[in-house]
Amino acid sequence: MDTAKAPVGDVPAPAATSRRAPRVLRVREHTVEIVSDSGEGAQKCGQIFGAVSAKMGNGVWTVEIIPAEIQPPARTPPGGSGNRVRIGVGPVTNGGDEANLVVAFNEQVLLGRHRLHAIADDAVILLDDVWSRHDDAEVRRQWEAGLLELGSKAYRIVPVPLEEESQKLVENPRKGKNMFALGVLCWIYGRDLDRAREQIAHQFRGKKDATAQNVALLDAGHAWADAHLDLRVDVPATPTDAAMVVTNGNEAIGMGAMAAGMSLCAMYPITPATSVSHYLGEAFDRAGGLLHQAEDEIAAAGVAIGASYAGRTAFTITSGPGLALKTEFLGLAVMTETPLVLVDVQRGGPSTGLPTKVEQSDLLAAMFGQPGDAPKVVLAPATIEECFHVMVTARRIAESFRVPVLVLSDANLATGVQPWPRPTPDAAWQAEPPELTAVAEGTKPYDWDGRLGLSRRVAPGTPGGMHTVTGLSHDERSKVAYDAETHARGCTMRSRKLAVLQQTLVPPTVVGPASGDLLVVGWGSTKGAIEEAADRARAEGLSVATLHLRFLSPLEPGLTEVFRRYRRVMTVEINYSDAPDDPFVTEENRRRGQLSMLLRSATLVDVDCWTLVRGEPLRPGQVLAAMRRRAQTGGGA
Amino acid sequence: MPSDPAAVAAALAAVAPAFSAWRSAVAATAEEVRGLLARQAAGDGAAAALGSFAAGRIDVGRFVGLAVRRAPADPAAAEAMRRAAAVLSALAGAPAGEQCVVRVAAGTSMRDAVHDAWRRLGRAFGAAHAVGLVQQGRAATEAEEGLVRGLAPGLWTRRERRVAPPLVVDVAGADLDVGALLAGLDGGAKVVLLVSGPCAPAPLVRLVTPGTFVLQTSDPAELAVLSKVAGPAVAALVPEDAAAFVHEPARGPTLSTRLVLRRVPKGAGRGPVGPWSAAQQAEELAQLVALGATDVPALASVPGVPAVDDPAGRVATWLLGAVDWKDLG
Amino acid sequence: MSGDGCSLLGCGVEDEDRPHDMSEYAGAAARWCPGCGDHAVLTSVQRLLAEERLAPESTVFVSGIGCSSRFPHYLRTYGFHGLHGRALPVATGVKLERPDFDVFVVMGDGDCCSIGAGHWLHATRYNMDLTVLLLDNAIYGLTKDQTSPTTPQGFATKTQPKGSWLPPLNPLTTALGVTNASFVAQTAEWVPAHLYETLKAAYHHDGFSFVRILQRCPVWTPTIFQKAVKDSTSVEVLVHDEGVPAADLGRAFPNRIVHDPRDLHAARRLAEDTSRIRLGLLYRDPSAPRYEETRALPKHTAEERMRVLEAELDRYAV
Ligand SMILES: Cc1ncc(C[n+]2csc(CCOP(=O)(O)OP(=O)(O)O)c2C)c(N)n1
Ligand code: SF4
Ligand SMILES: [Mg+2]
Repeated sequence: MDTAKAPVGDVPAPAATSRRAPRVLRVREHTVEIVSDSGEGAQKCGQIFGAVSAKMGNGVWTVEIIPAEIQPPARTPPGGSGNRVRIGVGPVTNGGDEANLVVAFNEQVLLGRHRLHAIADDAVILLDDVWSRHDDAEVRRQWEAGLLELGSKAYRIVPVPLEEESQKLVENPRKGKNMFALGVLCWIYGRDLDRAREQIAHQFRGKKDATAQNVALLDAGHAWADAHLDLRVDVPATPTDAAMVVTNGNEAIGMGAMAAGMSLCAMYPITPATSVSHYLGEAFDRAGGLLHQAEDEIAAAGVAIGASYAGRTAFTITSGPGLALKTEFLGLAVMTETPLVLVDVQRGGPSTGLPTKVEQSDLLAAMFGQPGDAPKVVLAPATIEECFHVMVTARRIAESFRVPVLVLSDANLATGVQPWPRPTPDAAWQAEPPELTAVAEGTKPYDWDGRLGLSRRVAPGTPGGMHTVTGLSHDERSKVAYDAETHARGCTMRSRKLAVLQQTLVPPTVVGPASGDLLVVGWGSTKGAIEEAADRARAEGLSVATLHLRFLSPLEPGLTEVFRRYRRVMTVEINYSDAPDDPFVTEENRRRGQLSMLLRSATLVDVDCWTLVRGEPLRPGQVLAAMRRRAQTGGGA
Repeated sequence: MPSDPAAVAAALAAVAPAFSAWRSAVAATAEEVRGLLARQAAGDGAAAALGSFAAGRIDVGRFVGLAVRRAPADPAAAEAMRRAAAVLSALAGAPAGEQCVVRVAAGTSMRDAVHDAWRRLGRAFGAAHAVGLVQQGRAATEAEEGLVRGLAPGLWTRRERRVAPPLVVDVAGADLDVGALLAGLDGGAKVVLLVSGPCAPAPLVRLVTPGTFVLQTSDPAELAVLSKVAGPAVAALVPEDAAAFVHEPARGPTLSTRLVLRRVPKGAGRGPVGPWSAAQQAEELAQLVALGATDVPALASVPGVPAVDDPAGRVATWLLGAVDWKDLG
Repeated sequence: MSGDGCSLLGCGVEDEDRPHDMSEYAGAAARWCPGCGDHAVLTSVQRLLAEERLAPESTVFVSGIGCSSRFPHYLRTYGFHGLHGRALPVATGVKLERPDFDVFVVMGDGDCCSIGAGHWLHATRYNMDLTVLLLDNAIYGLTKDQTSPTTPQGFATKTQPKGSWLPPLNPLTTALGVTNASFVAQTAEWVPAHLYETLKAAYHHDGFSFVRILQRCPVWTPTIFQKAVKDSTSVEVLVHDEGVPAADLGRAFPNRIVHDPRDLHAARRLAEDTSRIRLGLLYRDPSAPRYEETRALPKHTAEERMRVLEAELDRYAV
């Protein structure tokens, strides 16, 4: 890292007159936020900053800051748009607690973050102060009121002329500030400018002029910072030889589907699942895959089931409202034992809920959402890397067990960006489904092994195997039959498959002490925050262990035995639960977190829960606070 | 004299959709056979097939024991499958320019060259058929090995003919033998003949049958229409002094509506070309005119085709005058 | 038919092995009510399968839920008896995965025109090569006598005992109004010769061939088609060289109207006028783009897919 560049002698460079030698803060991790009005491009700045950091060998986690509306008014606290980038010396598994450094394009969007307690008390804030000199008296008044409010914290606010400086290079005051800010950040964090230029070229590929202009802005920002700022932050990077890729969770799902040899994705656009289809729309046909945008989610499920029925397992992607629409078809896939992979990128609910924000509240709908008994497999990747790999496993289970497999991701994984080890695809992932070979004439389409409930699928195209599948209750020959014996047997066989699958699962590993005061159980995207919180709790001397589930249906084996080794067991989830001390809430009527309900019924252990539904990823500090309370007091929320 | 590369490129472009359909079918089959093979080795491959998400979460041994059906391992069957898979992969992997272009060396038999190519490409069908035999438990017989070595078009089934591989045949006019094509010209077959050197005036007339698209032209750009034809189609790029015509089955129910004469050469058929006597050539040309000349207005209605105002009789008279009778003896 | 990328395994079986007798396409004994029009449609379809010598293993009948949707069970082909209203998406998936299959869709009027109406419009627009039969008995048969979208206004049912409140939906104008419609025909199950010829033309059309089959339900709507059945002069047959052959119908159906099925506007005018029942091919456009063609992709081998995947990973590599 280049250290202080003290001005030489008495004749400093003219631009650097006011600056002292920069102080270098050396830290193991740092969290940066870049916030602007929507449309000013702070997200692009954050993404490039994250990618450059990853390429230099830092651990990175990027979280999108999304405004509450599509076209939010400019200069409003809820209208802020941007990115949080947490960089570390080692791997970073979540977005962290509070930002240590913020670049804000105006004081209003900054206030939005301030009011959400997203900024650390001692944070450094680079704020464009052009508003203090604005023609409109109202704007100047807002500025003053805003700064007064921000004064409640010990932030160190550094004025930065983002707009004035970038307007030297671009006309439109709303365009260009982001790349100037990127230059400033690159200076502060000692980022490699060549990599930043490369990344800009990548972002604006195909647009030569845009690239040149943005690179000029980057350089201008960097030069300005070099001349005026006195603080640099060093988060040492550990460049590794291990090949890495940087993606968000949805891109990982799309690539995973390709790696899994799937060749048809049927979907209907819905946030936050849509970006999987944006990715596939570009990449899938290169691999011979077909992205079918259906007329609605019902049709998308139907097309995927029709294709799976006719050959290779297809998949469909959606989010909560779409999952609701696919319900009937999911039941049909269960009943006809048609393999299918359904990815639900969860968002806040119920109903249209919080389209862009994270929640883990589809778990029970995924498991039990279909009328009738509809046993199926539910998997939950916990990291962006797992979003890739889960697709391979999901397809294989769907085909081996003739069952729909639901994959529950969420908005946090979908939009989080992280480097992860580059996978080594295996040709075995691409293998054809096992059922597409000829059968003997008269083979039963549901020739259930009475013990396992498994049967060989007879796909159309197979000479000699002609039959009609049906969603009606049916016997082994797929003949509609309403009699008691047949229906009961069908239910048993379909359910048995889950028991068999569960028996092939390995008991989950516990992180932390094998017994103790508190076991925290989580699922899905919260793994990073939960495990970081537990690390800190153990560092404080608390006896806290964690266990993170990937299989929700069937549940991983041995949980009862593990749970009994801890004084308390608590789930941490991003879904709704009543607090025990809420008015009218009693131990009996308390509505608990969804995983906790499942675990209580499966293990008969008094599994408590701590949940938040704020539409935000969990912060490790929040989880730590909950752990402290439970581990120490053993009760209360 | 081999045809120029531009003509070969135009021909390959014209048969590109047919090639793609054929190659796709072969690739899909190769995949399927590999899948069958993988299943025979299911135990070994299962851990990999389950993916990394399953690592440490699924007991692969148990999973395989309970949930993966293994095809019975018969070494002879596996060997036969592997042979078939190798043939299919090789055929799926080679570009059209390598597989489908047949160059008939001067003075050699076009029939042999074309049939060799078809037999060689037919190995894909043979291999698929062999896999079928293996699946029925009739593995590794002589028949199965023979299938993989080559399968003549006469033995292709109707369904196979629909995805028949296209051919581009580079041949001298003197060696041109369109009869060689009859065995394979149905289903979805596409053949382009690039004819160089002296050539009979209407060699393709023999191939005009109700369902077959036949194009004889001197303009390489015209070959492109082949890519839009669904059924069997043959096109020849011939020198300027040969006839130009097109027989389009989709144009109508009667021959006269389907066949469009665009150019009837003068001065053709003066002497023998290869084994074809002038009389034979004249007969072909006369046949062409007889087939097509009955519906003259249809010709005029085709854009880009020069109107022929004279009725059939005038053509016939002209023909008689143009033929060199010396050779008739 | 062979679509891009369908495996050759199974193609080696010679066509001579195929059944060519209608009885060989028969599945379970049909369980519709005696006199139900669905029987005649089944017979006609079996004849079509036999005459076209379709391979049973590569023929798939997809249906929804309703009396009519039991159709696949009575055939010895592959069948998918799915959800009420959702036959078309399933058929779309089957055809996308296996363009080489002959895919038929059988729906009731509730199935197609009510609960599945959205899919119907979009499937028409996709124009995939599906043969689509709407068995229109103007009632919900299976669930026993509820008003359907095609129930005539004023016709009493169990849900609308004072008579259907609304004018009926016209499936023909609806279908003809959809962008990219490529084949719309109407026939009646009580005119077997016309039914057969219509099914045949539909089967041979490359695209979404929509056939509305007027179907008697002697149990719930015995009167609806009574007049048309008894008095053939109330029926008008569309004739044209390009249409459905109807020469043999001459004596039984004296009313004929020459209609060129290439003329969409004329088709719409004829479909709109419901003063008489018209049988025949209203519209056919073989050049309408088909979704499975426009979206067709060459199949890749596993190795090729792996190469693409590696290239993708390269794009995101650090
Ligand atoms: C989602 C759903 N809603 C309702 C039903 C009940 N249902 C079954 S068939 C049917 C209507 C059948 O009428 P139609 O489609 O005209 O077929 P038909 O029996 O007359 O041949 C209804 C409402 C169902 N099975 N599924
Ligand atoms: S109720 Fe009507 S439609 Fe249903 S089977 Fe009986 S007659 Fe046919
Ligand atoms: Mg009905």
